[in-house]
Amino acid sequence: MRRRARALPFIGALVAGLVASAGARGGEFDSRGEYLPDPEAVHYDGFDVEPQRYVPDDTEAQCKLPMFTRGDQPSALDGTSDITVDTVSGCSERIVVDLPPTRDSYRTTVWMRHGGVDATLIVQYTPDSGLGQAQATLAPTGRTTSDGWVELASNELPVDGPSMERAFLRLTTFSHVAGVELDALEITRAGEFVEQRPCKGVGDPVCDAEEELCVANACRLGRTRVPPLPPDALRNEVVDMIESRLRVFYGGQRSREIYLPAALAEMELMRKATTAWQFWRHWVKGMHLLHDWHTHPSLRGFGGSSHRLNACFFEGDADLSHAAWPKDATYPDILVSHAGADGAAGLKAGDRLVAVDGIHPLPWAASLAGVNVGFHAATDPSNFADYAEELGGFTGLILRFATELTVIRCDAAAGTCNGLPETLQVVDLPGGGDSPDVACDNRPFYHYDAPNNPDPTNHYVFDTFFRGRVADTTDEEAIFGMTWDTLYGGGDPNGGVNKAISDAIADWKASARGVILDHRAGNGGTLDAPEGLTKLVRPEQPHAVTRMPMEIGGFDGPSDAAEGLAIFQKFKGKSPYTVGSDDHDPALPVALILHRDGSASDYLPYGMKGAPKVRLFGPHATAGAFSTYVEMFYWGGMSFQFASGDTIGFDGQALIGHGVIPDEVILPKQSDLLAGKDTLHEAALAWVRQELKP
Amino acid sequence: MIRRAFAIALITALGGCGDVELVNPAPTPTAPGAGPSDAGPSDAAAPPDQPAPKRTVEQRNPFGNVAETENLLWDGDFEWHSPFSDEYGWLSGPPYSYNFPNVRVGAECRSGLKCALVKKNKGIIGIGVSSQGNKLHASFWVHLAEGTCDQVVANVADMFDMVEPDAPVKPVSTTPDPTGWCHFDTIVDGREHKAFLFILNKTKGDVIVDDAVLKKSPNTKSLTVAAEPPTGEMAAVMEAAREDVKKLRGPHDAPPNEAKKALQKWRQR
Repeated sequence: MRRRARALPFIGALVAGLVASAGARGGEFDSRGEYLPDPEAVHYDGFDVEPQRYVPDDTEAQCKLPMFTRGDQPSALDGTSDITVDTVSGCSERIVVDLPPTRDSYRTTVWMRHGGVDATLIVQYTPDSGLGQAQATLAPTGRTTSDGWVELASNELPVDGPSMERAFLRLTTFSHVAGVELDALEITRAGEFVEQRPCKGVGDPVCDAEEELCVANACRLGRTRVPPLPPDALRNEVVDMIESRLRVFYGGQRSREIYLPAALAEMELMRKATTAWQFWRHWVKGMHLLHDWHTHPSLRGFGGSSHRLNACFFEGDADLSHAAWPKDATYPDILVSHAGADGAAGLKAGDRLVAVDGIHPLPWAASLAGVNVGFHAATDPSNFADYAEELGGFTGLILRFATELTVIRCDAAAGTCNGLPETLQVVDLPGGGDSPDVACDNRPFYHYDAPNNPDPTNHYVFDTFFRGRVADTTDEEAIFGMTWDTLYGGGDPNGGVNKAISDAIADWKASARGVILDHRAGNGGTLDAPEGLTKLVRPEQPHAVTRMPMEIGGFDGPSDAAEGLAIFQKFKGKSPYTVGSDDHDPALPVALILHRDGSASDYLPYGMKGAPKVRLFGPHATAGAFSTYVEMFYWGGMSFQFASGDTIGFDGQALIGHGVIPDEVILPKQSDLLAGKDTLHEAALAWVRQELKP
Repeated sequence: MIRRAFAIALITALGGCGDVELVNPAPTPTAPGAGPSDAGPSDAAAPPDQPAPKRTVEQRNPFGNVAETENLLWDGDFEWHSPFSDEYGWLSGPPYSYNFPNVRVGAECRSGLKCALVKKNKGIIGIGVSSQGNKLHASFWVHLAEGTCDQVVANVADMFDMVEPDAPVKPVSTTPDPTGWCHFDTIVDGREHKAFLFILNKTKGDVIVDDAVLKKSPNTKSLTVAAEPPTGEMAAVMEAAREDVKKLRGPHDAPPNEAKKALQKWRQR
């Protein structure tokens, strides 16, 4: 009780010491536990009167009504009233705040209880200012009261007051029974004003390399998207905890061996950080260095680009343009797979992207670890499909991080490509346009009769199954296909995915002489769906065993195939990945076309490969994401997920990090794209025709 | 303790915390996850004529019980929970699924800022890992609204492979401490199969669960509780839970759930 006897007069100093690194703090408590707002706060709201709301013009109807009530509350943190916020799902409440018309920097605090609030201070500027919206997320400081109040605070946010149109606190509530009480919204001066500055791309020295990122042609303060720096007394323990989650639970044999050490080494740098962004950026990069298809950190976004690059890229063979720009010794060429009707910088299928900021697009994308918060990589180190797929589009890597891109344009009518590359500046790419933003699904063309195809103007396959007879085949050939991306069966044999698969199998068994499965944007799912599809092609057998999420803390995987085989034998009756069916069709040829496929979309080709009438076609190994994952959400939009566990094949191999290698490794050819041909589909069709069911 | 009890009574009388907010004292310095705490004047130090404070203030660690860096549960302190999660470290039920809606925030939690509310006849299952070659030390805290500590039933369970017997995790006392908390603390045999911490609320009210830890324990330590065969009722409960958990095995790349879709939509505003 002695410590408690120190009591409130000393609390301020104690707590201030703990959170000093978070910057200036808000109010304090007197010896009776009454809240004393900071007398120098530039904005303070104890909710003694109804606060003003801000409702954007484009707000949906269900989000327009007030989502808070103000009322008397004897135990309000300050005074005798507060507000209770209860936001409708998909909506947010916005409380207007007043900030001075000066250039300054602020820290926001607010107290909540009886639930959680995701809170963000947002400042919007007049259209003629040319300034982008500024915002800072709030996270708990750890200061709490015995009657349930919890303090949230932001890091410092620079505000260009003279150009400000409005400022508000955006709120969404969670984990409550009847709303979340808020009180003592306080904004105090903290930090130094930093002007918004345009930048050309990642690495532009105009941005402060220690505190800013150049994203979508603007310097973005990292600290506005992360929680405050943990206080000195707790920082090492926070790092220990984060690292231990990975040491104990992360990955499987190969991913632990080749990625985990570098990630942990990066996270060790968190211990010496002196600012919030220094601390969390090492965490972000450490997560990226885990280099796993299921693994990534997440922060609230920095905003999009005003430019447009409505084109999708994939790996290919630029067979018509190697004279103008030779093939890289390590990486495949990058081609335009398809493009929108406008906003694509004039790029078309078959054009070639030879460089981004002067280097090959794939190592350029790989270099964004630690910079691109949403960095996404395959677990198999030989697979670069995610990098390629993410280059284009309106949220693509080029628009957000590049200064320039270098392309070689081609002429489809002539079947030739320019001899000279052309360099485009990202800031010169126009925005706007009427055509839809295309999705990148690695399919340059679709191959069923028109009504059965996905819409080629947008490539929106998503959760839909498309089936039909393959175009340019005869009734007698009876070659059918399916184009789809999801394998999320969810354990429901009658759910949409599993039903679509079982219906397709029934139809093909009844009437097909050959099948082409197009799964070139395999988003994964659950094991039941690939298990279901393999029932078409092989007898039933346990093909692998899943050991996930991580079973034994820190398990580095079987030391050799013999140990792996022992694991397979031990658990094949407990946690098998069971493929096939005794009711399969041994005479039906099935071609499976792959490109960017991970998780359940790894298990599918793994379960198909080796079946007597199956052939896999693709440009490289799949992602090798043979695990599930763990999700961890913190406050203020910060979260992470990471892979956990492994899969042991029937031969004893630990599969994570080892993608499935197609039977026929084929890259899309530039010459085919210009001719309107789909290289992989053509190869699959040719094989199926050779193998038609009698 | 008289003054503290008075302070709690005062706060309750002021109506600050509805029926789900259990006013607990500031964690003692030994409570994991709590930073240095302050509070109102102590019995010894307070001047006799000073009124009780309206509230006390304390510094908690928003990352929870980080002192247990080797916790074999994914998120024993619930600090990394979100309703937007597709694959969280705890399951709730029955029926047991990744849907884990009842997390509470604030002073009612024992450590950190988040804790789990478990309704009567409901359970939660913490996902952990085994510690091959070591015994396991399992502990957690439960705040009761009514009843006795032994009306919360817990065990370290092999939910996937169903090979190793369930090992009960027992309360240190059947009576909650003066603040309503029950401490469960047991050393169980080492396990080769994936370990889960199963907690079932058999009281007649809601309970709060917090600060769950599963960690390696030296083999030289004695077992606290001997394994015992489950009652018929518990055997049935566990069998049903295992059927649910079994369905969750394997990769699980779910399409965004409704909450996550709403979040994404909200973020775009």
